[in-house]
Amino acid sequence: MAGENLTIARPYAEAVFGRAKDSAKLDHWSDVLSLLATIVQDERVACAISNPKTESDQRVSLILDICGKHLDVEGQNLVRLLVRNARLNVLPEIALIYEGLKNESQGNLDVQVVSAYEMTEAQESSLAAALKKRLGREIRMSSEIDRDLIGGVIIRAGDLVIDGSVQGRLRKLATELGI
Amino acid sequence: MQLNSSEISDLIKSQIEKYEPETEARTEGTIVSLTDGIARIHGLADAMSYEMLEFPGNTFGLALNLERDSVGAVVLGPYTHLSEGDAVKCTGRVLEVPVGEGLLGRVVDSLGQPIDGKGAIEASGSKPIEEIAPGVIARKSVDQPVQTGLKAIDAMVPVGRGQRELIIGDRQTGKSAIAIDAIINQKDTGVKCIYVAIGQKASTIAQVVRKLEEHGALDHTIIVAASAADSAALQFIAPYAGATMGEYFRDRGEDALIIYDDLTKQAWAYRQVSLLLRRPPGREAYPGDVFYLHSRLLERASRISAEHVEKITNGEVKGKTGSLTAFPIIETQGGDVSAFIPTNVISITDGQIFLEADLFNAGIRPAINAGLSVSRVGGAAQTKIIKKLGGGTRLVLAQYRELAAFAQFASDLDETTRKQLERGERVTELMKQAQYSPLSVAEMAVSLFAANEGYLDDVDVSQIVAFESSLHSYMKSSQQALSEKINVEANYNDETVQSLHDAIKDFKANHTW
Repeated sequence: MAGENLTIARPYAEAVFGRAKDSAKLDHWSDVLSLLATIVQDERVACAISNPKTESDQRVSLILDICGKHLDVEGQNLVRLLVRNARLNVLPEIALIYEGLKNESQGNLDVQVVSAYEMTEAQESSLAAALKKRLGREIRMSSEIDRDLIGGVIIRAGDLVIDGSVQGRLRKLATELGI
Repeated sequence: MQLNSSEISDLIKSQIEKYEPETEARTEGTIVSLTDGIARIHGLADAMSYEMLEFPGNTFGLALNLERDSVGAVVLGPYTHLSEGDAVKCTGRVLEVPVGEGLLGRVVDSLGQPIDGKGAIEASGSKPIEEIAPGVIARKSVDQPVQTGLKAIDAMVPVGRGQRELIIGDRQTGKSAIAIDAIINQKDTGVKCIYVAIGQKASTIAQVVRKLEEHGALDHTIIVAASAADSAALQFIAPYAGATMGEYFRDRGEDALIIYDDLTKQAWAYRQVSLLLRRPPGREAYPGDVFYLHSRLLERASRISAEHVEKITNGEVKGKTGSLTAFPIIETQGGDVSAFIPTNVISITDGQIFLEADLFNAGIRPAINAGLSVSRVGGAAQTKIIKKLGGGTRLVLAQYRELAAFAQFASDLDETTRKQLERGERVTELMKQAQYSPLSVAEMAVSLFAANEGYLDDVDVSQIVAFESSLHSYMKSSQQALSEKINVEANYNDETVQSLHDAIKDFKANHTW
């Protein structure tokens, strides 16, 4: 269950984040974790590491070999630790929580904007400015187009959803009317 | 539901008039798992405990478990159209139900939605289902009676307005029957009634509604129905919804009576929800807070002072105390009152009416066990005349039962014992009462008076019931003034005593039964 994996991943992510902050290597660790997460999510690797016949040493060397020189000593240590605790499968969650912690400490926020039509740059920058004012963080905006919205935009920032789309309003009207 | 065309356009018109398209900003999460009506939701970091959550398809849920990475919620109602990955929104509101006079005479579900096909409910407003019970200062002691119209209860275990009196017994011992009779007897008293049916068969609920309608008691009654087919979540919140509807009347300086039929099934429903939410099981697999489940509910039944009513209503209602009387019902298994839920509720309530299957089968109905049934506060609220006349009844019955057990072995008995046995037999017989036939104070008084003064001693035991009903019709036809006087004043004095003596003597001399 996703919730349980997150709970398991949290102490690892916090430890990595703490170490990264101490050694001022936040971006480096970000790369390392996303690389490791991609590797363990690969079907062939996942198959090999979940195979009970594979020995611990083999798992470590498998991953280290794939990473090659992209991993420094601390990265290798993390892999060894995760293998020893049989927690390789939570690497994607560790990466996720790490990114969250990193964004928070840097005051960044990933915002996803879905609009019915492509926005002009002026619109985008004014939206970003408004969001920055409201949420009090640096905004990193990614945009997407969904014709089904008919008009307006939906803004997703973490848990917060600001629905200003025509589709959303129509749905609300339908609920009001009890259709 | 039938709606005519004007109603529909009116509805649309009013909706269009007040509809404001506004941009909504809400916290959103996604369902990560959905099992047996329990949704685990990722996200929703600012969900509140007991907050209503909005699922797709106009479905609502209740956030019960707030965990680090997920929220555990129960879906209220059907959940088959939901699936993993669906978006769930916070509503920022705790669960509320409509309250007000408009609910009287209606059958609603746990969320206050009408299910009787009589159209929309004109509610005075809505209130959260979980309210904190009035504090110490706001309360007033119980000193007015709730007349159930049942001789055995009003004489032996009187109930006051604002009291919590448990009705406990095995299945098929007449628990609900007592509750229904109590509702019927509130017809002209101004006491509003709420009947909360939890986990019952829908056919049984329909029957109760029909019976209340037949006896003209539906107009002052709200039925909150969470039948066995409804989800466990709806069954477990039904009593709270009912209590909120009752509190509306209490807080407006009126009197209300609420019946929870029954809390055993509510505890079962809560146990189901708790176990599915993976809360640790305790005794009999109930969760740790099952005592609080019932105690916080029953604490809401109370009598509040006139000052408090004035404060709540902002001075609108002055000089009137409000009360909410509760009759929780508990079903025992094989007469075992020492099981977990029965002991809990016995300890919370202000007394219990204990019904026994053996008595019921022996034809003593209502099957009240006089020895084990008590009312801890009702005595202060009892009408004077019934208190005076009914005071000895318990004692007579208790002594009778003791002697009857001994007398089975004795061949010849002395005069006093024989007399006591005969008196006991007659009082037992007198305490019998048919369903749906509540008695007035005067009728009860004359029956008890006849028994106390020995007027029944020369009546054959098998004729007691007939004697009583003839006596009542005699009182109704020939002694109207006396009946009226007792009903209104309910005083016990020499004058009343003399009139009662004369009336019964006249009846015995000139009438048959």
